[in-house]
Amino acid sequence: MPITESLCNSRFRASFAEPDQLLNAVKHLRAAGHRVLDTYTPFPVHGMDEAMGLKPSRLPRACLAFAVLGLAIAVGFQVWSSAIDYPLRTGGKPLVAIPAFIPVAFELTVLLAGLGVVASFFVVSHLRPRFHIPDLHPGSSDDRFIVAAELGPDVPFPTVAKEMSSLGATESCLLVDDRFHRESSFWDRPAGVGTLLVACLPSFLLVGSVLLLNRDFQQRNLSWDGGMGAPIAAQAYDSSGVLKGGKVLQPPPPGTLSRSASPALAFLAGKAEAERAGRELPNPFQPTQAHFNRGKVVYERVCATCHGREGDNNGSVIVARGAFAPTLLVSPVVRDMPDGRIFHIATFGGPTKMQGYGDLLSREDRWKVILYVRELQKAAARPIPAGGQP
Amino acid sequence: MSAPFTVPIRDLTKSGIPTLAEIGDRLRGGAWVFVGLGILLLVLGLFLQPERSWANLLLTAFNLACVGLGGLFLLSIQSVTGARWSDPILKAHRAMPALLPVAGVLMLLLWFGASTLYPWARPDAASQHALHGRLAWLNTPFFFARVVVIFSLWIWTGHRLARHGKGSAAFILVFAVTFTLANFDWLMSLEPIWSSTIFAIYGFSGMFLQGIAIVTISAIVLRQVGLIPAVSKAQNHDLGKLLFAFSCFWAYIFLSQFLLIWYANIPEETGPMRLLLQGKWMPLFYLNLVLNFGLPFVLLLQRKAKTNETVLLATCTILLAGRWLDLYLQIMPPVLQGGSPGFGASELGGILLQLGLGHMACWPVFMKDVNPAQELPQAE
Amino acid sequence: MAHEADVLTGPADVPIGKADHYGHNLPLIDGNKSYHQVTEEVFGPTERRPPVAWWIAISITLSMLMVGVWGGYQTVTRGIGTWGLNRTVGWAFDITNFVFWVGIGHAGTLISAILFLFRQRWRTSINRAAEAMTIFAVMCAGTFPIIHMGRPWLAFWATPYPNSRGPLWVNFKSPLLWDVFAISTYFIISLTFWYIGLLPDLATQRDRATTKWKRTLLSLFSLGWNGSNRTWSRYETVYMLLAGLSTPLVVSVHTIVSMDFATSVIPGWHATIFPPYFVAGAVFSGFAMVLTLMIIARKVMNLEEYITTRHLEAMTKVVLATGMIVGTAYATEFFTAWYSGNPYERYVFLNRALGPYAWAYWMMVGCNVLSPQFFWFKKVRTTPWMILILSIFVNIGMWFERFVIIVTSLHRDYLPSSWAMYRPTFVEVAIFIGSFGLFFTLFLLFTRVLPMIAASEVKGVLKNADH
Repeated sequence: MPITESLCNSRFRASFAEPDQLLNAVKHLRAAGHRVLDTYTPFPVHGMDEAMGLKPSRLPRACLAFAVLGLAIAVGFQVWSSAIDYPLRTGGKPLVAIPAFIPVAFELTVLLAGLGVVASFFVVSHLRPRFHIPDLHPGSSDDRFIVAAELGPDVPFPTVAKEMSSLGATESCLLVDDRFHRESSFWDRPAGVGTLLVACLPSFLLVGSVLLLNRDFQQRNLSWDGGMGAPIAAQAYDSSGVLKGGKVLQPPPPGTLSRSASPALAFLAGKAEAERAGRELPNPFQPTQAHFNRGKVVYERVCATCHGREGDNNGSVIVARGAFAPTLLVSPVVRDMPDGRIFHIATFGGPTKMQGYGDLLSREDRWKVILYVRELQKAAARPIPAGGQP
Repeated sequence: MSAPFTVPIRDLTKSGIPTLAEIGDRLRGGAWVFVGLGILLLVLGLFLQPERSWANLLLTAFNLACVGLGGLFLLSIQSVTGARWSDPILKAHRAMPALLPVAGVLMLLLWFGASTLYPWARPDAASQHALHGRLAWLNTPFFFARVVVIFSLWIWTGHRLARHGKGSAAFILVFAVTFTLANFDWLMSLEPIWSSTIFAIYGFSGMFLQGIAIVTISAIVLRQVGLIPAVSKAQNHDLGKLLFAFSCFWAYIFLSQFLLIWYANIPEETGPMRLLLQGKWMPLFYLNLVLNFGLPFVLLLQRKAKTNETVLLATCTILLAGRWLDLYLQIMPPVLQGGSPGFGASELGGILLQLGLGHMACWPVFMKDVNPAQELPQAE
Repeated sequence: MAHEADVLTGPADVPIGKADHYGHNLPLIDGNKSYHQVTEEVFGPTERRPPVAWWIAISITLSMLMVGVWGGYQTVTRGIGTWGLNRTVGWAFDITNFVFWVGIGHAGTLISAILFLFRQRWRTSINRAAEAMTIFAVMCAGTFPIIHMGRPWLAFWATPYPNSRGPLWVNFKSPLLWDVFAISTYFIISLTFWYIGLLPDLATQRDRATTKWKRTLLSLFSLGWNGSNRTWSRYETVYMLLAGLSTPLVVSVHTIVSMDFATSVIPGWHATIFPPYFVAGAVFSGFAMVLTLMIIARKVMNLEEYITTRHLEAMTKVVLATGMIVGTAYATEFFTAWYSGNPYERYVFLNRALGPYAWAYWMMVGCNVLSPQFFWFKKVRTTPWMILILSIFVNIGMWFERFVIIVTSLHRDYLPSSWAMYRPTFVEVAIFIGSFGLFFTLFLLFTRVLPMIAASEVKGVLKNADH
C-alpha cells in the first residue's frame, strides 16, 4: 500500500489554455528532471514530438511491407489464375499479360498498404472499441492542453504546481490513481511489427489454401452458389430420361402423314410384302446423271457407314470394328433383286439387322440410292484386269 | 515531428570553394569546345549517315526548347499558385528560357533536312495513300510557318514572364496549345500513319521532369558554393518529392499510352511500339523505363534519400540521361525505318551541342539573376 | 494540421503588399474564434433537433430515393428490357451515371489527399464534407453496374472467389474487372481515410454526449481516443501515408474507368488521351459538386465563417484550371481525329458536333468550356450565388460529356443498317433520380449526425494561419 501511495502521489497533471504554453511547460518539466508521461490535446501541437523526445514513427516501414505483400499477392494470384489454373486465352493476349495485370496489381497494393498501415496504427496505439476510455482528461477534446508527468525525485508537488501556474496553467492537480502507469509497448518495438506480420501470415496462408482447395466444394448444396455451378443439364450422348427408349428422336406416331402430301405407300413391313413390292413397284426415276449424283450423296452419307463406300461392306463403323456384317450389296443376291424389293427394305428394314429408313430419307432419295447401288453392282461385276477371279 | 534541420551555410572563408563566377569562367572554355565539336560531329555525320545527323539536330533543338519551356512552366506555376517555398531555392528556371531563341534557330535549320526526316516532306508523299488526309496540314511551308509562329509566341510570352513577371496564366494557355502542336508536328509526324492523342501530355511529362531535375541540380550547386542562404534539408525534401512525383507522373502517362495501344492492337497504331518491342530496340525500351521511372522511384522512395544531396544529384543525372533516351526512342526508329540503334558521331555531336549551347545561353542570365535576390514575379 | 511540412514554407520574403494578393496573411477562419467556440459551433448542429427545413429537405430526397427504388424494382423484376438500350447502343444511361458519380467522388479525395500533400491549408474546413461526398458518390456509382447486371444478388460473381465450377476465375485482362477492383479499393480506402480523420472528432462528440446510449456508441467508434500526443504523432504519420496512397489511387480510379472505353477499338472511345482527360474531368465535376453543396450548406448551417468566400474562390480556381484542361482535351481529340485521316474517326467527331445528338454536344461545350470562363472575374469568384449557378452548369455539362462520349460513339455503328437512336425510358430516369435521392439523403443525415467540419484540423489552423 505505501508503495502504491507514493507512486500515485508522484503523478500529476497540469492543463493549459494555449498550445504554446503547453509546449513551454513540457520543455520546462523535462529540463527540471521530471518525467513527462504524455500530453493530451485537441489537435496535434507542432513541435511536441521533439519537446517530448519522441522518435519518428516506424509506421512507414509497416506500410511498405504491406504494399510489397499486396503487390506480391496481386501479381502472383493473377499469373496463377490466368495462366496456370485457368489458362484461357482472351482478346489475343498472352496468358501472362503483364500490362493488363498492372491496374489490379496497383489497386491491391494500395488496398493492402492502406488497410495494413491503419491496422498497425490501431495495434501500436492500442486503439480499439472500448467502453471505458483510459487516461481521459476533462477538456482534452475541446480546448484544454494537458500534460501528465511524474514528479522528479525530491520535488514536492506544490513547487511544481506553482511553476506550472506561472507558465499559464489553469489547473494542476495530483493524480490519485495509477492509470498513468504506461509500460513501453511491445508493439512499438521492431519485433512488434515483425510479430504482427508473422501473426497475419496464417490468415494469408489460409486464404491461399482455400484457393488451392477450390475443387473440393463440388458437393451440391455445400457450394457457395447454391449448386448453380453443377446444373441438371443434359450432357451430349446421355440417354433421355423421359422419352421412350431413351431416344431423343422418336418415330412419328402411327398414321402420320407427310406434309409433302405424297400418297402413303400401300405396303406393310414383312417379307411377303417385300416380295409384292418387288413385283409391283418400278423405279420411277431414269438413271440420269443428276439422279445418280443425288443417289451417290445420299448413299455416302447414310448407307456407306455400314455397307461401305463401294458396297463391299468395308464401312467405317461396324465391320471394321468386328461387329456383324450387313448384306453385301454387290452380291448376286442383291443384284438379282428387283428395285421395288430393295426399296421396300430401304423403307421398312431388312430381314436381319437393317432398320427402315422411311422416316429419314425421302421417297425420291430412296429410289435414287437404288440407282446408285445398281451402278456399284455393275462396277463390282466388271472383271479386275490384273488379278484373277476369286 | 521533426526539427527544421537547417543545413549550415558553407563557410566561405574556407579555401577551395569556387565562387560562381569562377565556375562560370572554367565552364566557358569548355562550352565553346563543346559547341564547336558538336557542330563538327554533326556535319561529319551529315556525310556518313545524313538521316541520323538530321534526327539528332531535331533532338537537340526539341530538347533545348523543352528546357526553356520547362523553366517557363515552373515560373508560371509558381506565379499562379503564389508558392513561396520554391523561390529562394529555384533560380535556374529564370535562366532556362534564354534557350528558346537558340532552339528556334536550330529548328529552322531543319528546313534543309525536312525531306530526310519527315515522310510527308518527301517528293513522293502525294502518292502515298496513308498521307493523303494529312498533307493539308503537313507540308513544308505551312510546317515552318508554324515553327516560326510557335517560337515567336514562346519567346514573347516567355520574355514577359521571365523578365517582367507578367502573364503567367496567359502563358499557360498559349503553352497548352502550342506545345501540343509542337509535339504533334515535330515528333509525331515522323511516323507516317501513327497518331496518339496523349502524345503531347507525354511530351509534357518528360519536359517538366527534366525541368525539375535541372533546377534541382542548380539549387544543390548553389548551396554548395554558398549562394543560397538558409537552405534547409526540408527544401531538398521538397525537390525530392517533386522529382519522385513527376517521375511517377511520367510513368503514368507512359503506361496510359502504351497500355491502350497494346490493348487495342490496331495495326495503324502499334507501328512505333512494335518497332521498339522487337530486336535491338527492345533493351533500350526497357532501359528508358528504368532510367525515367524505375531508378528514380527506388532511389527516392525513402524519406532520407529525398533530402540527401548526393542521391538527388545522382537521380537528376539519371533523369537527364533518361530524357535524352526517351527522345531518342521517339525520333530514331521512324527515321531509321527499321534500322538498328546506334551511338555514333552525330549522337555525340547532338549531346555536346546541347550541353555547350545550354551553358552559353543560360549562364549569363543565371549569373545576373542569382546575385541580387529577385522578387517574386507578380501575377496579373 | 501541424505536420512537418509546415516548417518548409520558407522565410516570408514576400513584400507586404503582395502577400495579401496571394492570401498568405489572411486567416483561414473568420470571426476570431476561440477553441471552445469552434467546438460549440461544429458540434452544436449534431446535438440539436434538426430544423424544419431539414425535415422538408430529407422528405424530398427520400421521395426521390423511393422513385429510384421503384425504378430498380422494375428493372430487376421485369428485366433490362425496361431500359431504352438496343442492340447498337448497349451501354448508355447507366454507365453515364456511373462515370458521373465516380467523377463527383474524386474531388473529395483530391481535397483530402492531394491538397494535404501540397500544403493547401484552406482544405481543413471543407475536407470532411468533401470526403463524405466522395463516399456517398461512390455508393451511388456502384449501384448502376450492379443494377445493370439484372440479377444484383449475383454481383459477387464479379469477384475472384473459389467456386465450385472447377477452375474458373474472373478475367484479369478485362477492364471491367479492373473497375471492380478500382472502385472497391477506392471505396474502402476513402472510407478508412474518412474514418481516421473522424476519430478525434468522434472523441469530442463522445465527451459531449448527454445520453448514455449515445456515449456508449461513440465510445465504441472513437476507439478509446484520448488525445494522447503519442497517438497524435502516429496519427499524423498514418494520415500522411494515407494521403500519399490516396493520391495515385484517385488518379488510377478514373484512369481505369476511362479504360473501359479506351481499350476498345471503337472510334470516339479509343483515344490514348482518355486517362488524364477523364481524371481532369472528374476533378472538374467533383469540385463543382463540392461548391454546390458547400454554398448551400454554409448558408443553411451558418458556417460562413468556416467556409469563407476565400475557400470558395480557391475552389473556383481549381474548377477554372481543370475546365481549361478538359477544353484542351476536347480540342486535341477533334484535331487528332482530323489529323489521323481515318474516315471513321473523322465521322464520329463530326457526328458529335453536327449529328442528331449535337444538342448534347453543344450543351457539354457550353457548360464545360464556356461557363467556367466567368471565373476569370474576381467578382464572380467571390459571389456565392454566381458560383452556385456556374457550378450547377458544370455538373450538367460533365454529365453530358459522359453521355456524349458513350452514346454518340455507339449509336452510329460501322454499318448504316445498324444505326440507332437511344432514348432513356422513365425507368432509367427514375433510377438516376433515385441516385440523387440516395446521395442527398446520406449527405443530409451526415450533416446532422457527424461534425461536418473537421474540428480538430480547424483548431490547428485557427491561431497560426501563416505558419
